[in-house]
Amino acid sequence: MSDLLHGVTGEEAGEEVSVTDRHGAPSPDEGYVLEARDVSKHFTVRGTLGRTSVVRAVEHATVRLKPGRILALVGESGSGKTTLARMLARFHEPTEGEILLRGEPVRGSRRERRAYHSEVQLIFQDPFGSLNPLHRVRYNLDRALRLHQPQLDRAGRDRRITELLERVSLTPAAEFAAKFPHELSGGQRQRVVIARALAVEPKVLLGDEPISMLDVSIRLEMLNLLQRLRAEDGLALLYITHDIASARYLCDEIAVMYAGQMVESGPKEEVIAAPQHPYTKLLIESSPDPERGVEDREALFAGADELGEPPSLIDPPAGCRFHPRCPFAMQECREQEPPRTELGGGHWAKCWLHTKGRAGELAATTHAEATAARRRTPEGAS
Amino acid sequence: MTVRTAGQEKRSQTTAGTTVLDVRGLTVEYATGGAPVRACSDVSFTLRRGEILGVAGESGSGKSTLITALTRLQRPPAVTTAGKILFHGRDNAPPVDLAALDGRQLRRYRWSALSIVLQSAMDALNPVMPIGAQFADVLRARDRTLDKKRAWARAAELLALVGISADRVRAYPHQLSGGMRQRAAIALALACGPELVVMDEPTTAVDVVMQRQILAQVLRLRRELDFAVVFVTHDLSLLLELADRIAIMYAGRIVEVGEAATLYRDPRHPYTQGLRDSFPPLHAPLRTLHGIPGTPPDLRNPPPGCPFHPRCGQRTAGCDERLPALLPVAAGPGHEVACLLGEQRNHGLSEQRGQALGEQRPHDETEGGGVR
Repeated sequence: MSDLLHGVTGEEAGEEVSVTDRHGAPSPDEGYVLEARDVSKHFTVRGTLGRTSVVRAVEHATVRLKPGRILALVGESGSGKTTLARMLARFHEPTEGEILLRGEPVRGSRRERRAYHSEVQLIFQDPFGSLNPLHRVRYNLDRALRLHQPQLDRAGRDRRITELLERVSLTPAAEFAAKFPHELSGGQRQRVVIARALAVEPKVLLGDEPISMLDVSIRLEMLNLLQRLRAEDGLALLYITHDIASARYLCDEIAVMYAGQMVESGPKEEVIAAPQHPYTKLLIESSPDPERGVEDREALFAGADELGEPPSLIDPPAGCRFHPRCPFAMQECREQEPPRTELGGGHWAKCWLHTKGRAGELAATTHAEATAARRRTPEGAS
Repeated sequence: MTVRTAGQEKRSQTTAGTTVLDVRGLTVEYATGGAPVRACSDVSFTLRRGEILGVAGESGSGKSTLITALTRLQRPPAVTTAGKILFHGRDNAPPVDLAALDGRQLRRYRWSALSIVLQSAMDALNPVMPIGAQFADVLRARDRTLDKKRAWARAAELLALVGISADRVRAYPHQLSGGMRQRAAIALALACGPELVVMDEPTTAVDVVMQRQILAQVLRLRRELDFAVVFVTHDLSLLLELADRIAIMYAGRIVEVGEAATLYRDPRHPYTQGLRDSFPPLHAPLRTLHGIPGTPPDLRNPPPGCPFHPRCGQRTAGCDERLPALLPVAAGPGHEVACLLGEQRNHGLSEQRGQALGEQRPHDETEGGGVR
């Protein structure tokens, strides 16, 4: 399925010789370009009366990005997606764990930081806030080039700016280069943001909800652009979103975060067709899907009245953090963190159902039905 | 939800029990320095009692202008320059034109007949007042005999409707999560039993699980309390699941309207088709999608003819000259589209049908329901 999509996109780009070679199966020695290994981030917040508490925004998360592959990171707001991306972009230092660029741990000196950012670039959610409004597009791009490619002279930079704008389909380039950000539409602005990220010729792009503020009709153009960049340049991409349908459209693999922890990860079609964690299941069943049929609306929304909310990360629940909302929760879930179960093909989940031989229940019911069944027999499963 | 077919409905029925809102030719302009900008042009629709009408469109399509005009919350430089907003009360009184009322007269209708849920509940709720006090304020402004204690008790009941426990009634807005604030705003809009609730992107700021929860609650509350909803959003995929009927707006005009299922299966306007195909599928086989190329027109300088023609892949001769009117699609009752292609196809279709069935469907008489 994914190959079909990429094949089409590659053909469209019309120049790549073999798209599949680049991101078919990566050869083992190719390895990961960027890796966050077992990272945690705790923030200290000052509450009332000067009391301090610790927010455990991300705990023991591992993310690995390969060239030419796209990983989608999905989860509710407050699940730690953005914090994780910011650690990868080195805006936050991890409290625990380490970030590795091509297998090398990264350090914090100013020069190394710049070298790091010439390989890893972050695209923000808000294209309205991430360009300097006082300067023309040309200046916004030129600045990135001057910082990261000091060998280029003025004429060289101008040529590069034209190339970059054409790359993101802002043509005629000269006309767009002379515009101010406010003269551009949201989609055009986000293209400039992407062009600026590309100016440093990065190997990794981190997109923090890059399309969520754009109009629906232009979101796909942006996804197709990212798809093309991956196919043509072999960029590694982390795509953060809460829109599972767009994640499926763009990515190869999906990782699901809940309350600061990774709960499931695997090839996208497997995760979406047969989620192996009750939270992933809830997320997918909550996503709008007109194909489900608009005939019986009451049935469609039955049981969706009380789906609960993510826990506080200052004092997260013991055991599995999803257990207070989980219709399958057992005694173990309240006491111990679930182990990671490998399900083959790179698909894994952290859920006690797998160790207890109850994984089949996930496919047999929906979140709403399971919740209703549980209400009829309180504590029935444990 | 009973779905009435527009052609069969009788005119008297429409004005008596079944219609709650009848908007006719509503036009809103922004008086800028130069020529006025028309953000809403000649918008007409009817809303049946208890119906959920979805309004979808891109930013700048006039959705927000439309609802601020409907609820009379617009501020200068926006001015309603033409049109009527006829509101039919439950009491079978003659309809009132909300557009013609002054501020004092409008107070009779606010909250108890017509209320609004805004996109950002954080901005809609007062940050320095406990939630319960804001409910009490509204309740006691309506009913002066209500004492404080009873008002707070009622606030707790209303919050319970949206699944917020009674002990949160003394909480301040910042102590609630985003999803709870949004639900509290919905409960507040329902405080005085309105007949019509206008919702402006109430789920845009929350994530998918909370979105589903809010939509499920809106559906349940509508069933229990019987109010009609105008639900505005840019997310057509959500409306296809939630709404009874959907109106698609483009450049300040309604370009297509119909039942949700019809619009999903058989969209007639190229813009509606593009919008529907802008959502990648969750389970169906993937294919490369392209959205809609180009950007919405600048309303200060709208293109001649159909405003969508510069972006339209199906444009033909005449699209850049003549503005298509919103006309019924012969195939579907209550389904109307403003497109020259539709007019041609439609014409052929209706003639065929007329000959085949020997029926005379009154095309120009669409008062029965739906949008003109």
